[in-house]
Amino acid sequence: MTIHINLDVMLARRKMSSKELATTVGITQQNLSILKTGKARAVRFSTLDAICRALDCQPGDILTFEDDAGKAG
Amino acid sequence: MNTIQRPSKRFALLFRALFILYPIGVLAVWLVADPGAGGQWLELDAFKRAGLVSADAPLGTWQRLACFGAAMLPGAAVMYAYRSLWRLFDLYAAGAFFEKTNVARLRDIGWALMAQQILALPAGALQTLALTAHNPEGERMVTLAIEDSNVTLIVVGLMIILISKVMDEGRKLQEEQRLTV
Repeated sequence: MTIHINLDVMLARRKMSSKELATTVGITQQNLSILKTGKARAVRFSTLDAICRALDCQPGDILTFEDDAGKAG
Repeated sequence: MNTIQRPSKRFALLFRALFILYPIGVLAVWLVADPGAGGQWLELDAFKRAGLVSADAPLGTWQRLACFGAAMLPGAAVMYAYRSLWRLFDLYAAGAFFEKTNVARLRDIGWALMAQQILALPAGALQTLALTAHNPEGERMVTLAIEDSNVTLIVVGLMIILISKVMDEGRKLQEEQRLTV
C-alpha cells in the first residue's frame, strides 16, 4: 500500500487518545483501529471530515503517499 | 438471523446423520438384495428387469461386496457432498454467511454432484460385470449407460459452482464494506 495513515502522529501531537477520537468522530474503536493499522480499503469523506475537524488538521496531515515501488527500484 | 441459524443447526445434524447412514444403507441394500424378491426400492430390481440377474442364480457374497464397492465410487462423492453440506450449515448456524469458507463449501458441493454423476458410469459398468460374472460365456456384460438425469445433475452441479462464484463476489463486497471506515 502506498497510502500511509499518520493518525498516531496526529493523535500524539494533539494529546488525544484513540478512544476519545473514536467517540468524537462517531466510529467504533475497531474501525479506528482498522484505519490506524492501514487495513482500511476506503475512507468515507464524512469520516475524514470528522477526523480533520476533531484533530484540527488537513487530510494531508493524516494521509501521505509514498511510492513503495519507486523506493524498491 | 435466527430464522436462518436455527434451521441450519437441524440441517447440519441431518447431513451428519446422512453422512454416516449412507454407506451403511448402501451396504445393507447390497447384502440383503434378493434377485428373486420384488421391491422396486432395491437397485437390484433394475438389474433384474434388464435380465442381468435372475431368481434362479442367487448372488454370491463376493458379487454383493463387489457391487457395494462399485456403488461407493459415486457414493464417496455423495458422502463428500453430505460432509460439505453439514459444514456449510454449521457455518450458517454460527452466523457466517459470506465468508471464504462458505464459498469453498458451496463449490465443493457442486464438484461433488458432478463427480457423483461421472463416477456413476464406471460404477454401473463394474456392477454389471460383477452381476453377470456367473452367466454362461457370451452372456457376461459390461454396460455403460448415461441417463438424462445424469446430465441434469451435472448441469445442476455446474450451476452450484456458478452460484458459489456469485457468493464470492458477495463476500468481496462485504469485506469491502467491513474495511470501509
